[in-house]
Amino acid sequence: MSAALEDAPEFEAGSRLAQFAGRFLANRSAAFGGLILLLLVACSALAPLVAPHDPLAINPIMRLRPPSAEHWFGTDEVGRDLFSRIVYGCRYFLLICLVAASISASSGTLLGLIAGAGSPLADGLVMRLMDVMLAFPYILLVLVVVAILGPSLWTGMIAVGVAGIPGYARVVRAAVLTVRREDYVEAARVLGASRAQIMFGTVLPNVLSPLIVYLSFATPLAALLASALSFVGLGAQPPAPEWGAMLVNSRTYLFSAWWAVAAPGTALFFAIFGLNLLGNGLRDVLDPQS
Amino acid sequence: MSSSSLPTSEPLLAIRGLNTRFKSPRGFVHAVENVDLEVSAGEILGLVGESGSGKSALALSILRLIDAPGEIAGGEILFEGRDILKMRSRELRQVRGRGVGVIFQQPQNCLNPVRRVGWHIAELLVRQDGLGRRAAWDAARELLRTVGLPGPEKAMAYAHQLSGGQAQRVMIAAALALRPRLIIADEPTTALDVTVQAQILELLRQRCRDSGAAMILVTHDLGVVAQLADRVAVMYAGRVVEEGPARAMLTTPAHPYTLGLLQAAPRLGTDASERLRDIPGVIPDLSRPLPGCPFAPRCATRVERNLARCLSDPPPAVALGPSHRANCWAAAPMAASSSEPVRVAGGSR
Repeated sequence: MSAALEDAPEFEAGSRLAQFAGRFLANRSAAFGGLILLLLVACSALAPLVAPHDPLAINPIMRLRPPSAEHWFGTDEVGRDLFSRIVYGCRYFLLICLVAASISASSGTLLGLIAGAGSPLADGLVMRLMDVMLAFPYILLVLVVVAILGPSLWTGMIAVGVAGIPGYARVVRAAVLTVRREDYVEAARVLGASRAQIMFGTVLPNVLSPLIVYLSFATPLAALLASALSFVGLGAQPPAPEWGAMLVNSRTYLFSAWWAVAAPGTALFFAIFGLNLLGNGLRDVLDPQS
Repeated sequence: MSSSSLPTSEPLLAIRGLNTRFKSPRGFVHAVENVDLEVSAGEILGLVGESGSGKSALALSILRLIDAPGEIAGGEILFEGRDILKMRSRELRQVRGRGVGVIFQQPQNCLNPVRRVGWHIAELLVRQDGLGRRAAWDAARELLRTVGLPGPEKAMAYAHQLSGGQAQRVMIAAALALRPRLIIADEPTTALDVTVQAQILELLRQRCRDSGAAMILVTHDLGVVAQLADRVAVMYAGRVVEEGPARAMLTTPAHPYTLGLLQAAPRLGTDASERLRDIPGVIPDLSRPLPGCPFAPRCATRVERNLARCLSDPPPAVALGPSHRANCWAAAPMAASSSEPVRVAGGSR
């Protein structure tokens, strides 16, 4: 360490990431949520190794069997192994989260930046458009998009992503409005930075914290909505082992074969629960006031 | 003659009839009113005034940094002969940073908290000079060394890891990175420890001298002005009331307001029991311009000499010597120590 000039505190090496990691792991909610997410990612990546059976293989002799050593979560109405279907379902869940969140976060962030850092006219136009989108019930908006594009897994994901845009735009705009008044934005302008350079180089990195927190709260909601869409038959189509779609097929047998409903339901519950815990923890970890 | 070499008589910066105003519910607040000011290459101009006198508004107007509800309502700002007020945004961005550098009051707030210190300078060099990443960072480290921040770890630090003085050193390095011909320092030491102030001022002077840049030093601290400035302009209620060589201004001020400022400043070596003389009253409401001299309601000289026209007619610009002028009906060089005005030169224009 060099001798400190004036009254400077000592510099810590590589502090930011290390500091973040330390605080993340120290936060129980964040750590547990992160663990569940890690489990989901591992199941998706290693699905062929983890799953004991082919998730699509039909076995009429073994239909609606209760959980056993061979079929850990039991079998469904056409004899497919539920455990294997849950494991492969992780892929759908993460895919939905990824696609829907990417669409809403990227478009919402861009619109929020334009509204927050652009001219008053741009702000008015963008935010009124967002208000119109928010005025529609979430599910109705999704149904309209699906009606236009036709029901499939992809249109479902796109629809959910589009429906999430206004939330991101609002969060980012609010953060931008406080950041744009900071002295360092003025300082960047003084040094000849253009409007776009200021937006992406100076303002955007400073609104990442609230954006990440909102992302972690909005994503499980989007995943839930996508599953609901599959449940009403407008998202993933059978025989895809998507958890929402699995729930529909097995709901007829709720009283005779509860496990066929419980397996995807519980999986969905834990995945959403984990993401919410992660969001809660991230909010505490990233909050400068804590 | 090529367009880059200007005749020597041409000042680096010439402000003519500048008006900057802010819209308020009660009408326009005239923060800068009809200001004429010139800065020659290489000189240090002290811009002095109390809070609300319009000195910062004037400094920000030079680079068109006045945001709504403020606006520049008229006048011209010629920088190297080109009017900044008429520039397109691309041209203006070239002047910012490359032509004119600015240093603000709160250095720690001027550094992006999520970016490393060196990034601010390296990014600037990449953007404006077209340097590669690695070359830009090398240049940034070199620039930080010249402002007294040696060692590679300083460039990798974040703003919150720096002291105020260190942060201001970074801002000076950034402002000078593109070798601008003019530096505007808006109260550069106000937010710093007294012990660091002198160091920063000395650094500013030295760096300006080394690069041949002129400087406009905005301050309310007459001690700072005495230390650094070649020339001084005193602002009151949005107007430049007196302007002249620093020595003449500080020893024989012509405007009663300048005199008042000097008498209100504490000085070492004087009797501590003696009270500082303040100027009674406050700055007038800038949304309702007065017909006469804006300082007249507070002016002791006016009362003493019972001058009626001070309240009714705008004061003339009185030439008091080479490049020394005051806008005052009673203008005449006065000694700071005596309260008895002696009329030596003057007369209305």
